[in-house]
Amino acid sequence: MPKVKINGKEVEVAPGTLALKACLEAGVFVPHYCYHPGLTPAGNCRMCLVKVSNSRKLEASCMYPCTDHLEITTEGPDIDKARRDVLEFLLINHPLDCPICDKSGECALQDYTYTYRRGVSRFVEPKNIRPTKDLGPNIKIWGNRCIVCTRCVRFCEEISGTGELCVVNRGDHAVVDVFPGVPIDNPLSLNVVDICPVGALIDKNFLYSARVWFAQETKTVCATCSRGCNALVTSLDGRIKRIVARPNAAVNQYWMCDEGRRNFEYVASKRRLDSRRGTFEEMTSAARAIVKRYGSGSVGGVVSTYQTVEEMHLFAKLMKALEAPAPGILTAERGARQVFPGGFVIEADKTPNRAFAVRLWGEASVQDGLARVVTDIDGGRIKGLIVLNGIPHPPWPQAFLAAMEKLEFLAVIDILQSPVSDRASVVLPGTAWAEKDGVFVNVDRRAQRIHCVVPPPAGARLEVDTLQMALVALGARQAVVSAETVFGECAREYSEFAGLDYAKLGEHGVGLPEATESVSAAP
Amino acid sequence: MSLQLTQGFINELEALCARYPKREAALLPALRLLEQEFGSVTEEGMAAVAKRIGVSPAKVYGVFTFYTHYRRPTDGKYLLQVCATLPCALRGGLDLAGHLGNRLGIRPGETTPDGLFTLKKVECLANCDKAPCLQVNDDYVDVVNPETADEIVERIRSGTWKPELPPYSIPTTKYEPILLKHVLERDSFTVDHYLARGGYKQAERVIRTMKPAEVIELVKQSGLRGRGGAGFPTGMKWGFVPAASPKPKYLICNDDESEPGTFKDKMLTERDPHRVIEGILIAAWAIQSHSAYVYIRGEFGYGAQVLRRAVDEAAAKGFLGAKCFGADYRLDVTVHRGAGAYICGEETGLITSLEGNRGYPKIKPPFPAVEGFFRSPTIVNNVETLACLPLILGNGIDWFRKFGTEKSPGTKIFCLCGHVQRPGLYELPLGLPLREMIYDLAGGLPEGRALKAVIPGGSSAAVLTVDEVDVKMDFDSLAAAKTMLGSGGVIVMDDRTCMVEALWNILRFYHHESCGQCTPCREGTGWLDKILARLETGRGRPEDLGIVLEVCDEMVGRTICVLADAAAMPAKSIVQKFRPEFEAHVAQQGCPFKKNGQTRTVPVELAAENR
Repeated sequence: MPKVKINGKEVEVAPGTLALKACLEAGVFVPHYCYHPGLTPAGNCRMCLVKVSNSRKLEASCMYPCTDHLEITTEGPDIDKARRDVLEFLLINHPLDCPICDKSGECALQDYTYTYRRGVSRFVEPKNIRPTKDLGPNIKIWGNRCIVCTRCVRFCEEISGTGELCVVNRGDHAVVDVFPGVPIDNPLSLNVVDICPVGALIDKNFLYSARVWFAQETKTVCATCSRGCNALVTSLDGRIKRIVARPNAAVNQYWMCDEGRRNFEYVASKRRLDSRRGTFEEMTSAARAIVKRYGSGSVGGVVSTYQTVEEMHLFAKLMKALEAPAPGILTAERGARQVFPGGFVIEADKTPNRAFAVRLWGEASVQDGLARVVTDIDGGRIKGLIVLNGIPHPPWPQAFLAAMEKLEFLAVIDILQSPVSDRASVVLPGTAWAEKDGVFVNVDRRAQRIHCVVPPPAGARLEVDTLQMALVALGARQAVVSAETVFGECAREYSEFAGLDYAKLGEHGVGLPEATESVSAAP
Repeated sequence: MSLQLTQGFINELEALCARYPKREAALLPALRLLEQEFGSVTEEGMAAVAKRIGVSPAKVYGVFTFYTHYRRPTDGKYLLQVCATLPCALRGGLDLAGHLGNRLGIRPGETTPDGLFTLKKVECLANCDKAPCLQVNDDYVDVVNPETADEIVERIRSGTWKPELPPYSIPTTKYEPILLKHVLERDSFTVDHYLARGGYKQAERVIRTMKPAEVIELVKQSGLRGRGGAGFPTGMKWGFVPAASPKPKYLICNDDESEPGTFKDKMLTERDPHRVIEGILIAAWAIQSHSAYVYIRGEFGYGAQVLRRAVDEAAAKGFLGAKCFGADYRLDVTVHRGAGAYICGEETGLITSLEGNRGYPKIKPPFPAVEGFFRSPTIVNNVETLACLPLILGNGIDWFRKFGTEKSPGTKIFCLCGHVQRPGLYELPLGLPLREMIYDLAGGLPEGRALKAVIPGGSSAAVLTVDEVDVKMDFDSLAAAKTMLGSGGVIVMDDRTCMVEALWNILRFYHHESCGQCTPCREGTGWLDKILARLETGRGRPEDLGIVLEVCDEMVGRTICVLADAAAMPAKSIVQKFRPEFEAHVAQQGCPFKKNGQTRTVPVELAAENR
C-alpha cells in the first residue's frame, strides 16, 4: 500500500487511489466541481488543483494517481490563488442570478466563492448567452449557469446507460443539451439534478417551491421498493417538497430513482384518512367478542410489507393475543428488477420491508399473500379481520374485496381511503412512511432507520401507538412506549437485531446476520 | 424522425466501422458520408447513423456540434470560406470577407436568399503563402483579390464555375531541398514516380532485415526531433512503447496541420504522399503496429483524396496489407478525415477525436505511447517527421546530422508568410538566423516597409521584435529566446501592422478553437478576445493591459493541454513588447493605424462600417 503525505500527515492509500479521493478520505477537503465519487474523473473544472511533489505545475488532484511517497499540499498562497482564479473564470459568463436560482443555498459556486472570498470580478464584457430550456419531462436547464463539468453527461453514459445528454458547441459556448426531440427521460433522470454542482439542471417539480435555507432536511430511507435507497427529504411547513439521494455504498451508491423521488405526493393527498371511525377499544372488544363466539382462529389479520419492523412485531403480538392464524401479507410487485449499467438497482418489490415479514411469518406465508385469508373468510372460518396497511395504492385482489362482504367485523388501519376502508366498521387513520420513526429491512437484509419528516394528519395516530393500545386493552401489554423502545424489544426478541438500537443503526443502517432461531410460524 | 438509409450507404458505413477497433470511431467519417449522400448533416441523418453505429443520438449531436467543417442543412450550395486568421488577414483576408459580404448582401455565417452561397469566415486554412485564400466547398482558391472573388461569384451564378487545382510553387534558394525535392515534379504523387526515385526501398529493407529495436536505436542516434511543434526526440518517443504489451499498437500520422502560419504538411501530403506512407511503414515496424491512421484535417479534402489513392496504390503493389513487401508483416493504413478543430492537432485531442468523440485532450500521464488510442500504446508523429524517415534510413545518420545543429539535426520546412516578398515553404537546415530567412531568402519585406515583429513558430509562439531577429532558428536557440520553433510557421509583420489588431486576431483564433473542457482556457480565451476587441475598437481602459497579462498568467499551466498556454504566450509577449501601441489605443480611444488609413487587418464588421 503506497504511503502518501497530505499536508505533512502520512496516510496509507490503496494503490492507484487518486489524490483528491485520498485527501477527502483523510478528511482534507479539496474543492471540486467535475469530480464525483460515483463517476469516472474528467479533470476539467481545474478547481481541485493541488501541489504534488512530483510536478512543478499545480495538478488536478482528481486525476493524479497516488504513488508511494507522494507529497500532496492542498493549501497555500499559490494554490488558493489558482482556485480564486478558476472561480473568477467560472463566474464571468455566469448570470449571477442567485436570488431566483433554485440551487441557491446549496450551490458549490456560491460556497467556494464565499470560501475563497472572490467577491469582485475584473470582467466588464458582455456575457455569453446560452438557452434556458426543457431537457425532458422532469428537467430544465439554465444554460447560462452551466459550468460544463459534464457530471450529468457522464451519469447518463456510465450509470443510467441511457446517454441522452451531451455537450454541444465548443469553447465558452459549450453547454449541456439533448439531441433535438430526444428528451432525457429515464428512471434515474433526476440524479443529474442532484449532481449538478450549480443551478443549471433543475427538477421542474421542485422549481420555485422552497428556499432551501427555510426548509428542513431529514435523513431517511426511501420506501418505494425493497432496495431502501438512502434519501434526504426536504420539507417546509409540514409539507414534503422533494426527495433526493443520500449516498450509501452498501445500498444505492449515490443514486435514487425518479419514482422514489416522487413517492411523496400521496402523503399530502386529499384521500388521506384523517378522521377515525370507531376507536381502538371498539376494535379490540369486537374482535374479542368474535373470538369468544366462534373460537380460536375466527379473527384474522392482514398486514402490508410497507409496515416497519416495530409495527410488524406489534401486529404479530396482536394476532397472538387474538388467537389469530398467520396474517395475510399484502405486498406489491410491479415490473421486473432493473439493474442499470452503473450497478444501481430498482427492485420489483415495491414495498420496503418484505424481508422482515418473511422473518416473522416465513417466505411461504408472504408468497401466499392474501389467498389463505380469502379462503378462510370464504370458508367461514374467519369472521372478523384487522387490516394494517401502509402501501399507498395497494393492489387489493378482487377476491379479497369480495370476501370482505362475508365478514361480521372489519377494522382497518390505513393511510388512504380505499374500497377496504369503505367497508370497515372501524377505521383508524395511520401514518405514512414519512410521518413516523421505525426500521425497514431491505432486500439485502440491511436494517435502516426511517425518520419522521412531517406531522401526520390531525386524526391519524402512529400505528405503533394504536397497536400497543389495543394490546394493552387486550391485557397483552403493560404500557404504550415509543417506537424506539419497541425496537429495543425487537432487539431482545430477534437474534439478528441483538445489540442494536436506533443509535447503532446510524445514518447508513446495519447489515443483519442470518436469524439463528427458526421462523416463528403462526400460533 | 426516421430516415431510410440505402443499402449502399449502410455497406459503406459498415466498411468504415470495420477499419477501427471500435465502431464508434467511424463516427466522424460517417458524418462525412451523410454529407455526401444528403448534401448536409441533418438531424434525421444523425439519428440514423447513431442507431446504425450503436451510439446514442446525443453523442452524435455532441460530436457534430464540436466540429465546424460539416455542412449544415442551412448552408448554401456553395460555401465560400474565407480564411480570417492572421497570415491571411495580414494580406487582406478580412477585406476579402468584407468584399464578398457586400457583394452577396450577406454577413459571414449567412446564406443568400437563393440558397446559392453561404459566406463563412474560417480559421487558418494552412495555405498562408497563397494569402488571402478562399475555400469554395472543398476547393482552395489562392491569392484571391476582390476582382477574382467577383469572378468566382459570377461564374458560380452562371454555372460555369469549375474548380481548378491551384498551381504549386516553392521559392528557390541556395539551400537544396531534400524533403521538398520532388514535390513540384509532374505526377510526384504517384507510386510510379516515387518508385522511380528509389521509393519504398528503405521500408522494404527495414521490414525485411532490421529488428524494430534497431530502427528505434537508429532514429534515436539520428537526433530527429518531432516536426509538429514540440520538438520531442522521435526515437525516444517510440522507445516508450511497451514492446511486451499484449495490446495492439497504433501509429497515427498527424496531418491535422492547423497551426496558423503553417502549411508544409499540406504540400507533403498532396505532392509526396508515398514518402509519408513509407515513413509510416518504417515507424509502424519500429513499434510493431499493424494499424496506422492518418488523421488529416477536414479542410484538406483534396489531400485526403490524394492520400487514399496513394494508400490504394501502395496496397496494390503489396507494400501495405497482409504481407508488406511479401514479409510476414501486416500493416493497414486508414485515412481519417477530421472536421474542423484545431485542438485535434494536439496528440491526445487527436486520439480522442479519432475514437469518435469531441476532440477533448486527455491528461498526461499516461502518455499515448503507453495508453493512447482506445487505451492501447499509440505513437502520434507529424507528417514531416515521418517523411524524414526514409531519408534518414537511406542516407544514414551521418548524412542527416550534416544538416542543422548538434541538438537539432536535419532540415526543417519553414513556412514563411505575412509581409515578406516571397512567402512560401523553405526547407532549410535547422539553426539558420531568422534575419537571413526573412531578408536573404524570402526577399525581405515589401518595398518601403520595415520589419516590426515576427512570430517564429506558428501563432502559439511568443513574438520577436525587430531587435531579436538574429536568433538562430532551431529548437534550443528559440527556447533560449523565450519563444519556440513550434511547427515552423514564420509570420512576418511590417511596420504598418497594428499589433493590437494582430493580437486580437490571434486571440479570436484561440477563443474559437478552445475545446471548452478546462475552465481557465474556456473562459480565459473568450475573455481575452473580448478585451482585445474593446481595445482595438476604441473602448479600451488603462487597466485592461494589466488584466490581459494577469488573465494570461492565470491560464498558463492550469489546463489539461497547452492551448491555454498557446494563447497566452503570444498575448503576453505582444502586450509586453508593444505596450506603447496598446497605450496609444487606450489614449486615443481607437486604433491609430486605422485613423491613418494604413491597416490591412480590418475585421469585416468594421470594414463595412467604414464604407
